[in-house]
Amino acid sequence: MENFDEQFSITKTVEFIQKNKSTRVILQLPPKLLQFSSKIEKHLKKALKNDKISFFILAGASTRHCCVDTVSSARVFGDLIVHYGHSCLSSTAQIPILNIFIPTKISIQNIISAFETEFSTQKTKQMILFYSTEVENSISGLYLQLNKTFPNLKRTFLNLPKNEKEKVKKLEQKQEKEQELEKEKAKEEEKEQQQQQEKENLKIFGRVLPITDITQLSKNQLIWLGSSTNPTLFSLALTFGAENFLVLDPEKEYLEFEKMERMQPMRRILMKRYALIEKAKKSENIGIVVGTTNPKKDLQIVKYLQLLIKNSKKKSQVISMGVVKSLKLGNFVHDLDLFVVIGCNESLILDQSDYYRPVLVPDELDLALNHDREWDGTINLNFYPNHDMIANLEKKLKQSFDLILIEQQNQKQIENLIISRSETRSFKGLETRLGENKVTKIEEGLSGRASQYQDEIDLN
Amino acid sequence: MSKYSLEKILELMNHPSNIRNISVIAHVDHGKTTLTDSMVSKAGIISTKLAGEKRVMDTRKDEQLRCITIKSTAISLYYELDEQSLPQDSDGNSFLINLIDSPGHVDFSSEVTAALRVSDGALVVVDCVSGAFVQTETVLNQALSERVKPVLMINKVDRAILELQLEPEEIYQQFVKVIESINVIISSYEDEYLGDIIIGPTKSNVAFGAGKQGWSFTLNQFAEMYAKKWNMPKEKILKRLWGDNFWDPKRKKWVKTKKDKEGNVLERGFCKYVIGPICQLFKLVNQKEKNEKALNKLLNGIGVKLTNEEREEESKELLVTIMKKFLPAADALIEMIIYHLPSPKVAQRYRVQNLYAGDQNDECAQAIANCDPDGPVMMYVSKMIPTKKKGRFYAFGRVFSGTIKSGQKVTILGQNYSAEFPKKDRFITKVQNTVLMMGNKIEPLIKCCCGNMIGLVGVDDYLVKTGTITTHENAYPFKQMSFTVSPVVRIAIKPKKIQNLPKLIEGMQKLEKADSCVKCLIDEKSGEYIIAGAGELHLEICLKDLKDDYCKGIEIISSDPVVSFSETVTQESSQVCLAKSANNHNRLFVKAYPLEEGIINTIEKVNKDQKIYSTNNFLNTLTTKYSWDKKFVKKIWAFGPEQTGPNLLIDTTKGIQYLNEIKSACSAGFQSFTGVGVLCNEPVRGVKIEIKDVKLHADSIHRGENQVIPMAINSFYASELTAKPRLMEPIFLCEISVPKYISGQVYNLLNQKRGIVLSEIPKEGSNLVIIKSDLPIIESFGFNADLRSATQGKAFEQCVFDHWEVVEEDPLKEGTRANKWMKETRVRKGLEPVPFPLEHYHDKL
Repeated sequence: MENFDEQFSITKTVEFIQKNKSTRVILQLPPKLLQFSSKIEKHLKKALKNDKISFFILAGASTRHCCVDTVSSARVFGDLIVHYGHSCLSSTAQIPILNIFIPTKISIQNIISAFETEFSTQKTKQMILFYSTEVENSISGLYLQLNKTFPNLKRTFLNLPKNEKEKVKKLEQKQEKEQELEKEKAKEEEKEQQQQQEKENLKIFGRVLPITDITQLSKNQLIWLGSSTNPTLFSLALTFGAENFLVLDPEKEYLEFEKMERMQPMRRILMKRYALIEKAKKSENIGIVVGTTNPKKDLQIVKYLQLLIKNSKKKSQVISMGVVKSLKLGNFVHDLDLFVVIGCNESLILDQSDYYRPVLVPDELDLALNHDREWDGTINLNFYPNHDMIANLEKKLKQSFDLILIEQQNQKQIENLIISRSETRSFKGLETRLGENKVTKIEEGLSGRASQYQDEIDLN
Repeated sequence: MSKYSLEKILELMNHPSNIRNISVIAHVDHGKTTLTDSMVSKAGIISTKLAGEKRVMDTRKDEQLRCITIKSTAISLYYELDEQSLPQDSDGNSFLINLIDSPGHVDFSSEVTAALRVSDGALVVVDCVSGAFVQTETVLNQALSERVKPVLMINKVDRAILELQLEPEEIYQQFVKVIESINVIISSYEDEYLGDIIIGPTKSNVAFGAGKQGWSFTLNQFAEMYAKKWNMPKEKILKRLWGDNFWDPKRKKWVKTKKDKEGNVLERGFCKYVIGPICQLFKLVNQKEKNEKALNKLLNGIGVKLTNEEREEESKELLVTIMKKFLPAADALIEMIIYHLPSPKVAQRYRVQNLYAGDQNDECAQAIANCDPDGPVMMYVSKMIPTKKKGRFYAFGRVFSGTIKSGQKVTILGQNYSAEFPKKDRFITKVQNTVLMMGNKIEPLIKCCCGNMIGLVGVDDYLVKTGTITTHENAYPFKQMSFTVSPVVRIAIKPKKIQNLPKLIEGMQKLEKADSCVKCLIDEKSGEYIIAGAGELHLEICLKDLKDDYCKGIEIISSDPVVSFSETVTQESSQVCLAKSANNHNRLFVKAYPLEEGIINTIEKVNKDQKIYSTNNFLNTLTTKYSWDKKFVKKIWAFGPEQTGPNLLIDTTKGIQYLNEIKSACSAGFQSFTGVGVLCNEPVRGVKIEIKDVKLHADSIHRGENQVIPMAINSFYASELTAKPRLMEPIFLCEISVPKYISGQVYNLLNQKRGIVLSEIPKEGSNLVIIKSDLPIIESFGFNADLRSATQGKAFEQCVFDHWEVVEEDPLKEGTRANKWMKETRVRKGLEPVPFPLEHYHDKL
């Protein structure tokens, strides 16, 4: 029992719920953890001893599992979300959120010796330590020890939602008192360090980096501590270049650093992605698929992409869609040649075999259509256009506007055509055909499930 | 010798009746480029001394190094003839020959195709010792189908005399054989517009000579010489100099039999008066010390004067000097070209039907037929030639009508333009410059009149490889060229530094533009960047071009060459295959069947020739020749892949509601299925899918494309898996010429390489045999080197893609070769090594 409580941080959750005085708690679990949902609820209820608090379990999310599903929770008027499992940490929702990471067991001693073997001759090397959410619980202690041997090893911090941190702070402090003096001091230091880092430092991929400028990154050896199949690592590697990453997977039996490029066919992936970018250059009608629940940020990107597409004399259409799935995009196959998905920073769709049209991320479309850019071999999954970029495009568009007035008119007509076509396509419910069918006696129809009706027999 | 003068060329360009546009075509190593040298030297561009060695028309470094022509090169040559006997419709005594030297290696056949399109005549060169080869036949066939008139040059006669030490009569027999073999091909083309094109020495459209030594002759020249000497009419002598005409010295009379009444062997006219004296000369020069007197007498007789310096030359050099003076190669060739090949004015009248896609009576067609310099501009761009400036191209082609000027506004109709979609691939732009191609140099022009070959500057951005350039608003494009080689060998390339990928793609696009037979593909499914070409040599050259030119400064990693496979089925599906849509509301029941080889070929032929599929014709063939049910023939839904491939989707259901609504979705699924088969994502070939039954949801929203397409693909994959799927491998037709005594080595090697010998034909007049065989392309990599080492370099091979052959082994059974290939292909594409089992695609009810 204790183990279970620890694994799902029941005490921490209870405290968090109580601090926020929440009455409608949403539990969001990925499919892998859904089996534990009722048990978690039971344990929480038992610990809270408050009948007024009701729990809702989100069995299917309207977003990717790494994102916090504020839409679904709003449907049941939830006032607090507990998100379990791996998170992309990209939510900026106003509602209190608690991220519960399911910790993996790691051996600090083994990790340290792995570090010592790998960097035995380069103890003063500039390094930045990234880690997966699963090792968040033990990272502080580990870093403290590592830092003794490797003075230039800097760590990143998880950029957890604000509302949570403030409230948990006190809790943590209380816990600290019970601990040894030295450790307390260290924690204090760490906190100071973190706070300082947060003020001016770079925040990216749900992490606070120990640097202020992205260009400083290349001077450091980047280290990933966590599973080598973690999607965050994949996004980081695409954005910062896989060749800069060394990976240490603590779950492996024998701990050893591996080069990121060796472990994943990153080259092949990039070549595949660039093939899609090439295709984007030739496509005419582009669908901008909005797949997150982060409207403020998204609108800016949508605006930029629309301008970019217009500037390239192509047509765009905005589609809002929770989780991006091939079946959903399949509805637009006839009208659009290409989709660009605005989602969290882990929303790059790698296996496109089920999609009939290329599905890109905004940065890839920018690479394809923005002639000022030169490819450096990375794909920025944290692509975010600033105001200058938008203003620049608007200026360009204005300049060319006078020259191609007639062309624009043609384009408008085509745009209208797309719109009218899609209008006829919208769902109007089942066909009623009132008065069109002859009046007949009731016949017995199909019964059973659609996958196999009762009267169906196998043809073979 | 006339001096090279640009002004004269420019002036002549305005007189189409004094222009000849010709291509030099032949098998590899039969001496085209060397022969061309003599003509270039005659025009005053290089010195006589260098002719035969310089290879002016091989403008690239690698061409010079390998002594092989890779790209065709054009040059304009100016000649003056004697005033006395000019061709009928000529206009003055000066002539312009626009000549294209084409490559002979089969891997570069597409260059020949492009060259012939803009030529009216072809100079066919054949090595007199080895005779006509496959490639000779291929290029000659191409020429005739383009309505290009041939003349023949029998080359390397020096080899017959010096190397093989043949007697005059044997040489004569050798010549007869070569001429006959060419005439066999020509006579199979009966074309009323081309008229009588059978060749023969008495017609003076055959020349004999040795390009390397710089000499050649036609019988006409000898006849003229003897006519002067004997004071007899030339025509009379000409007849005696060929065929069964023998000189009886006793009775001083020409007879038709080999022996006289007493049984003495008589000498043939050709041997006595033509080749005999030449052989005699060769012999005397070779032992000049012994025969000085006799030699001097002979030289006097043929009117060759030597300087003292020249007399001191080694016999080998001396022979060349004498022969160049006695029978300069260019004279015979120029005479043959000017008298026996048509001017644009003549040729365009009958070629227009083969060239112009629009109505033969419209303004453009008329202007082409009349070669009208005042008509609308109609120019066909047949190839793109890289300029010195990196990444830009000259659009090389021929002006068929009108006059094109620098700075003129023109309409460009690209390869994908068709009158049905007039906005697609049609551009209007200005011609920056017009230039004349002179080997590796260019000369700027102000304007160019119809009937000439020129290069355009500033239109390369609008053209992929070929296209039509016109000033007429409603002009139709020129017909597409059909290439005889297909790109079946491929290599995957990648940059060493991933950042250079965009530059690599740019380079690939340029490469594709410069070579009409290269296909550059980007496979987004596997992330492979592929160059596909005709053969190993071709790819080697492409890669070199890419590394040294189009992608200079980028390190490129290339894979070993691999072949593309096809997938097919060999049996009717063992069961009806069912797939359900994702929402479970729709079902599709299908079966796969193998298509007959004849039907596959018909589809491919029809679609290659016409591009737009003419259904009626094909459907009639299906019902009459293959006795298909008319009902089903009408319900062919799709061809695939790319709407034209050799696979059929047929609806065999009856009375299904809403069926028409899913037709396009099924067709889309079919395209996807035929493009990437279930075994290893290779194209499908020769499969017929019959839709047996369909169940659809009554509501249209539930049977949308997103539901139907995946369902269709799954059912097609399932049907392929249940119909004994097999791989197909591409097969080369391989022709090897090798001395008889080591042909055993070749047989051994072919055996090792799974080659199947089709025929072995001895080449008469030599110790060579020609072995024709089917050679799997996958085994052909490195075959060239193996062959050389097995035969001490005495064997020569040429390989050209011939057909696809089913690999009998089950690719899904472990341990077979087909299984190995399938796995290799899958792994290369980044797929799991084994395809999904049937259950993955086939749903149960």
